[in-house]
Parts: sequence; structure tokens; C-alpha cells
Amino acid sequence: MRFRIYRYDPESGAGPSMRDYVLDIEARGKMVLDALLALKEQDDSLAFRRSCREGVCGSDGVNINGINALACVTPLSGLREPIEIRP
Amino acid sequence: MIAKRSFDAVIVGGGGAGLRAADRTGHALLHTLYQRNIAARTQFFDEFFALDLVRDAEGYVLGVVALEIETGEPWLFEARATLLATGGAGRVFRHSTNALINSGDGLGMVLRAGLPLKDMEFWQFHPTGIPGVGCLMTEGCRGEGGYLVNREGERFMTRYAPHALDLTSRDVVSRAIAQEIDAGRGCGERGDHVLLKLDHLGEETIRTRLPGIRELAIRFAGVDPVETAVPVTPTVHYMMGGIPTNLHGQVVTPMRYGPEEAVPGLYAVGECACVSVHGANRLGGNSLLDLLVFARAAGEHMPEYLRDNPYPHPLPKSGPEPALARLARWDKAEGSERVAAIRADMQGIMQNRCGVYRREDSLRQGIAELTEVELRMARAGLDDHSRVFNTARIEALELENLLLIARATWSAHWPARKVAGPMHVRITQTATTTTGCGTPSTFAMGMRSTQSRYDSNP
Repeated sequence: MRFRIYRYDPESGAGPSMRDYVLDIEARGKMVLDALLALKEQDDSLAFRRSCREGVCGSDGVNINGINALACVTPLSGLREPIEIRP
Repeated sequence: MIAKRSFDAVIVGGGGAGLRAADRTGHALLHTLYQRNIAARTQFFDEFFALDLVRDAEGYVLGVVALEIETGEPWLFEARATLLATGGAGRVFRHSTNALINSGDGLGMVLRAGLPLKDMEFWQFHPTGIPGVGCLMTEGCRGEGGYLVNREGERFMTRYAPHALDLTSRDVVSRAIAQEIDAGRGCGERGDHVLLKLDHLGEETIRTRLPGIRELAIRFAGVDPVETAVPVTPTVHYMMGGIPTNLHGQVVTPMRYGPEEAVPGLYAVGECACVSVHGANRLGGNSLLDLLVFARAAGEHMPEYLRDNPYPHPLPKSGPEPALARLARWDKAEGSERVAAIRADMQGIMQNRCGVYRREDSLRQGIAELTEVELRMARAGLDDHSRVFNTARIEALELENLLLIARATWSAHWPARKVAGPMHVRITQTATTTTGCGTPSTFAMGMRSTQSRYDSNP
């Protein structure tokens, strides 16, 4: 699956930008948070908040393809690619 | 540079660790507690990660070193009293109902401060969690007439509990599932779970009686229980062991005068603490006891302690140095090993060898595997060396704590205690033990796993 994720490293001096990611993941039954966790294994500089991973705590509120949602309860399947994730 | 603040008292942790959807009492408690703190003008330091306790030669706890996640700056919080409320450590296992942040950081801090943990082999397993995700399929599913089947489609509880069947107690069902998986009758590619069958109840019953469960199953297991059985597996739920405390929430340790002497200036409450009221198998709903009774008792005791100790002790020369050194280690070289891979392997070892059933030979093999994982940790590095919101570094620091907890869990099995609690069964060559009543408590301590020491109290 293809992702476009908002990245910003204030120490680099550069402004925020979108970075493209490709992830080999079986979408069925998986959430956007699962994809983010798998992407973090590829690129450990990808930073995001998460805690309960079941839609209770609200830590992983992000903007997914223009809609504000919790990554842990947003299914991957059915999302338009590249899936755009912003803070 | 290190920022420094002085406080009368500092509380480490909180932030909703262990909060769960079905637990409305806990949810209400959390909100009430938060509102009371706002009313009392408590100053929160959100998104700080506590690294280590600062302790002087006399044993007084003088505060904590913490990392500000947003800036990457270390802070020293000087305090006459410190209370740990860092929650459980269920993330040491692969299948856990706990939140991702439940990495037992307070337990790691206590071990590194040279203090012991208690009863660390006592972990509670809930029989029906969704594999990997850990969300609970409540007992209500089986209450409505749902039942468990193995790979062969057999309703195996008829063999383990011919009368109560699937409605027998949690520990019995957990053991039965574990036996099925162990005998190669588990389902799925890895054979690591069984199936909870609900489809025979009919869509109407499921829709009206188990709507939440249906939603969870569709959402997290990717199956609609109306059509397909839901994968479930025994899932770690609660840590009965932890930081030993007395009835006032004071952390206790064998020091100079007795086996349970209070550590001056240190308190622990909630799941991270082990007041020992839960024995080897906590009863449902009783986790709130940790807060409603013992956290309150700690809150009432702290002013007394502060009154008796009106002046802060001077910081030892080394002060925050050990914590800063630990932090600096992750700033440096890129290692050949990756944190995520080491964590996954540790969780696998815990799940496979330190689960519901613990065979002597498997435990021994597990400790060898764990030692290997610990050695790999020494070669681990990060690609991200930035300071701002470096969550890779946080995950590495959490893994350091998890590895200590894995080691403590393992080591509590030897040489102190040969028996087990109701939640896990110890299998030796000669006997299988299931009772934990009246047995000595086990203590695990040691800053580094290679120098660990274990003991039992009478």
C-alpha cells in the first residue's frame, strides 16, 4: 500500500513536507495504526502518539485522507491510495 | 544542560495507563481524578518520560530524572517525596490487553535504583483476547451460548470441564486453550489461537445481545461473528507482582533493620505496586482497590512524611549521571540490531515459554533465549538521532525496562519458589503444582541482568 505522510524535523532547518512510503501489508482487518507501527519499523524517525490502540484514549488522532479520525479504529481497506496522513 | 526544578512531591506516571473500553468505573475514576487535580492546581508535565530515580547513599529517594519528549531535554525533578504510578507492564508479552505504553517504566526505575520487585512471575491471563491486538471478547459471549473450538472443530471444553464447559473460571479456560495450542490443535497459520464460535446464536441474538463484541470482532479480528468464529487466545491482563509496598504505599525493601523497611521518600500505587492483596490471582474488579484504598492511603501518608522530613537532602555527586549516560548511549553509534525486532523476540519468548503453562525444561530454554536477546540489546542502535519528539529513543528506553521485567519474571521461578499460582501452572518432572497459598514471596533484584540476585522471604 502507498502512503503520503506529513513529516517535519525542526532541527533540519527545512520546512514540513510530505514523504512517500510503500508498505507490504495485508489490509484485511488491519488499522491505519498497524500500518504506522509497521512503517516505524522501516523508518524509526517517523514519530506519532499512540497508547490504548483500541479507540479509547484518543492519542492517535490524525487526519487521514482529509478526515480527522483515530488511526487505531480506521480500517486500511477501502482507503484511497496513497493514504495521506497529516497531524 | 539539564533543567532543574524543586518540588515538595512529584508523581511519576498516570496518563491513563491501562485504561480500557469496557472499564467504565476506571474511566470515571480517571476523569474525576483529573478534574480534582485541575481544581487543586496540580502542575502536570505532560509528555515527559521518567528515566531514573535519584537516590543518595543513605537510601533516600531525592527525585527523578525525566526526558522532555518534545525537546529531547533531560530534566531533574528534585523532590522530598516521589510517588510512582506507572501502571502495568503487559507489553512484555506478545498478547496483552494492555495499552502500548504499559512498559513497566516504574519497575525498571526501581530495579536500577537497587531495589527489588516482588512476585514477578504472577501474571494474570484472560482466556479470550483477540490474538495480537489483545482486545477482550468478554465472558458474556460464552454466557450467551458461545463456545470454543480447536483446529479440528472440536468443542474441547467438554474434555476439560464436562459440567461447567465454557463457563468455567478464567484460569481453567486459559489452561485448556493453552493445552490445545500446545498439542498442535491451535488454529491459524501459526497455530497460536483457538476459535470462539458464536454464529450458531443467530444474527438477531448477536445484534441485540453482543453488539459491542460484534463491532470489536469486525474491527480488530476482521471477522463478523454472525458468519465466522472469532480467533481468541489467553492474553496477559494484569501483573499481580510489582514494587513491594506497605499499607501506606511506601516502597519497602530489606535494608538495615528488617525485611520490609520503608524506602524514605518513595511511594508506589496502582498496578505497578505490589501490596500483595491480590495474592497470585486478582479477582475481577479488584484492581480499583489499588487506587481507591492504597493510593488514598499513600496520599494521606505523604504529608506526614514531608512534615517529618522538612529539608531536602543534598543530591549525591553522581546525581543524574547514570540516567544521562543511559540516554547518551542511544544518541551514539548505529548498532546492527533493531529495537523493534528485539522487542518482538522478547515478547515471543515470554508468550511461548512463560505463559499459562511453564515447563521446567521450557523455562530453562527460555532463559537462555532471553539472555541472547539481552546481549543483542547491547548491539542495538537507532537510525534517528534527532532530539525533537524522538519516539524511537523512547521505545528503546521502554525496551530496556521491559527486558528487566522479563528477566525478573523469569528469575522469580528459581530458586525461591517451586510452586505456582492459580493463573499459571508449574510443571516439573515429578509434579504439577497449582496452589500458591501460603507460599513464600519471591524477590528479584539487580541493576543488570548479569548481576541479578533473587531471594525469597519467609
